[in-house]
Amino acid sequence: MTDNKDIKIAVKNISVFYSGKKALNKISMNIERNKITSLIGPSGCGKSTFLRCLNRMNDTIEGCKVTGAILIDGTNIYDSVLDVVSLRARIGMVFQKPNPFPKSIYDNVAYGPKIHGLAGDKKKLDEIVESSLDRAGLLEEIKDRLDQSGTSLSGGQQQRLCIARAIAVDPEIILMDEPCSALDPIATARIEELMDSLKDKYTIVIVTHNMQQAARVSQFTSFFHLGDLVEYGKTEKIFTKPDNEKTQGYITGRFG
Amino acid sequence: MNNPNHIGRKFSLAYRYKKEKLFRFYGLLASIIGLIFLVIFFSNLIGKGKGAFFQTQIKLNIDFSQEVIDPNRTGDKEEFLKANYGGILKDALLKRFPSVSGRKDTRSLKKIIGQGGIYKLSDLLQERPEWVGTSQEIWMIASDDIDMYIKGKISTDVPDDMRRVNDKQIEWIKQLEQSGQLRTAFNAMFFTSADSREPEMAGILGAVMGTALTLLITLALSFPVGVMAAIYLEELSKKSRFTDFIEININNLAAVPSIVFGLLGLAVFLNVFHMPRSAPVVGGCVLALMTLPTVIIATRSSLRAVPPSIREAARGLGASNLQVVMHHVLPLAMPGVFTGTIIGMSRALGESAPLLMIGMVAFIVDIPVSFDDPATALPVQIYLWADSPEKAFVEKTAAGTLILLLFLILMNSLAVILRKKYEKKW
Amino acid sequence: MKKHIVSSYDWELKRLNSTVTDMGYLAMEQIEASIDAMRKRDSKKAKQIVLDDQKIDNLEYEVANLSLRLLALRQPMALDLRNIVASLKISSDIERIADYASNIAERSPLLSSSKPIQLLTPSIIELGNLVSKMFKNIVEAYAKQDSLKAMQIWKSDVRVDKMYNKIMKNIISSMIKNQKSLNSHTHLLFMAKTLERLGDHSTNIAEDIYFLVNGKQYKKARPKG
Repeated sequence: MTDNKDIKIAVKNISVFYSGKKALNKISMNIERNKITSLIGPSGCGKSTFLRCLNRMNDTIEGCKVTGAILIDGTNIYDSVLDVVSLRARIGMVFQKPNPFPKSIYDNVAYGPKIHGLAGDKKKLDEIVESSLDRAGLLEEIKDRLDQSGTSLSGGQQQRLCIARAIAVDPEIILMDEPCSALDPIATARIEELMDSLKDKYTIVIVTHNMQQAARVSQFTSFFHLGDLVEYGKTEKIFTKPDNEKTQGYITGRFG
Repeated sequence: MNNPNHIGRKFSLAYRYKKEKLFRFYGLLASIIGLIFLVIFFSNLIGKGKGAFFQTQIKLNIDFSQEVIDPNRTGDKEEFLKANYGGILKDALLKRFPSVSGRKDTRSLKKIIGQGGIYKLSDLLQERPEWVGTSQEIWMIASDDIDMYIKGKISTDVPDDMRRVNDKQIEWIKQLEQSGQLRTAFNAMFFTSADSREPEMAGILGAVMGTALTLLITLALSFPVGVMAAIYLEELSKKSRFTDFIEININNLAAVPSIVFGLLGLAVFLNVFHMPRSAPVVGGCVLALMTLPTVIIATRSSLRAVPPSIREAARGLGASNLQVVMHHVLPLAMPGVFTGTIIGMSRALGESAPLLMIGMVAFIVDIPVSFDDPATALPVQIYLWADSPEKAFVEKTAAGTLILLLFLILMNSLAVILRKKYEKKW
Repeated sequence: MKKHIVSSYDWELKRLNSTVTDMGYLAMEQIEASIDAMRKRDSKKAKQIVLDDQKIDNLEYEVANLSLRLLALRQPMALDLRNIVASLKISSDIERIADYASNIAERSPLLSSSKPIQLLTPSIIELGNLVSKMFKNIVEAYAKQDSLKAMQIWKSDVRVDKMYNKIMKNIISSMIKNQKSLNSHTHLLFMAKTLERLGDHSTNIAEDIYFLVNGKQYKKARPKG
């Protein structure tokens, strides 16, 4: 049984409806801090929808309704008085296809800190940009061309740039929606190594349709199927002796 | 090659190639026909209009006689204005052609110099008062009939008294030519003066200024309002029946005939708000109303074309809706916005119907300098000149059209430059 | 060979290899201790050796768990895959070897101090030392993943066989002469056989090391003395 102080995100009975149609059915789980939790499952099972609930990105979708509560450090983020904009500054998000802004590398990373007023002067801003790029493992490669466009980098570098951009606002949680699906194996391995080092400081939740990646990278895995949470537990257990028949079927490639 | 098992010749390879060749030929033919029309149009226009850029001038020895201009020797420039410059001119002409006598011939002689000559002499003395009491060689502008004759537009087949230029005048012109007192010079006046009843004095500057001032107002009103309206409708408002209703109406407004906007301007701006008639500010407002739907539609569609991944990235970082739009979406949509604006402005440039309704059709001789001076616009000016009976106005009409086209090309080039500057790769 | 981009993968593989190596060193100690027990006929020491065998069994279980985890979670390929599979097999061989050492230790107190036995024991101890040295070398060859060294050791199994055959002949002829101490002679027989089997398992390990490094089986037939 995990200690209460180890739980970063407590999800309680989250259901999501798209224009009346149910996409997620009463999901409850506890996500531990400073660990990597992966969400796996076949296409359309609701894992991306679930991820987007954690930073209320589903609010921007027309006709989307969310019921239930998500408590981050004890506070319900679906409380109506909560400011969504400041919530999203505490939670970084990295998307499937790398999407750097068509600005310079420096401006990409500096954008978040600028709009949230995290840096008093240019010197502080430079520091934030440099340390974010460094932690994302990108600084060495591009430190002499910070003013080049973000879109001139390779796919793997762009994704690391997006990660640097997300951590520049000093979030507590990083959400990743299939971050490596557009990358080649070497770039993927680099990002996985990066995630390993990032978990010391952040809590990471990653959606992946590649369950081998979930096996390699995460400490906890949850298996979704048709909007239900079928099983949630330690990754090693899920992949060597899962409790649920369906989980075993999916992992061994017998269905889905 | 041709498989006999294929059903029908419609599917044979040779048939398909032939079809393609035929299609390409039609395309080429259409392009060539279009080009031919363009060439015909331009050569016609240039052929008709090039004459407007040159004017015939006659050199005369003008005696600024002290007795006529300043008999009391006051030396006061104000006094010079009252002098009888008509007399001075007549004297100069008679000095050149001493053999001329009789009222009819003298009148003919006077007619070879343009009516603005008197004002030119007066203006010269204002500039150089020291010329009083001296004789100067001045190039005077010939009258429009003489100008037309020199440009070969007046035929001599018709008998003497049925022409604009009679034989005597032709004789005088010949003499002036021989003595080097006749020349065809560049017509700078066309670009520096406003409209005039006299074709040789008529210039395009009034209309150009009027159009420039009007379009400035149009741009200043339609661009910001249109862009912001589009941003509101596209990004910030919640989708509802009301916004759908607005969208349908905007789309329809883009197709409303321009004269309707003129009527609106007449009814509201002139009759209710009592804005000055014929002023660029009213013209600008009316044209802005007309351009607004085009700007809104173009902006909305450019905003829609920005990929949602950029918005998601910005939103994920905690940017508010307005920040997402202003910092990321709008800069990327700029090329499309500029295109839409230029399309709208080009249409506004060429519209005369709404401007006629609000009175920008009057005959204006002063060059407008502010937004509430009475003015006219280029298309209106061209229409007025096309309507005038004098032969000289034919070339002026064509020249005015060329100026209008030049304006258009300049605006479009500006749009291309701005678009290229803002185009970013995403 | 360069390191893995994901450093935790490297770390887990290292852990697997070092656990197997630890097993090897523990087993080596057991072998030396059991030969010593045989020489001194020390029953106290023998008991300790039998108890200590549990440690090696525990390590084998740990190796199995580590291998399972690596196979499930890392999708190992090529040399990583061979490393894991070979390590799994080798740990099983080491466990058997440790069992043999424990057997020998168990039997040592039962040896009589009669003259014929006393005469034969030194040669068995010599055999014991030989296989012990062989095993020590093979553990080092595994630790270094040195397939050349492994194959040298593999070849030296001939000597073990030769020595074993000679010892068998001597024991049997002594048995014929000393009908009264059949029991003790039988113990000696078993011990000698156990030591020979120990050598065989070391040869197994050598073949596994060759497979680990080169990815194929060593083609030649095992030399027999």
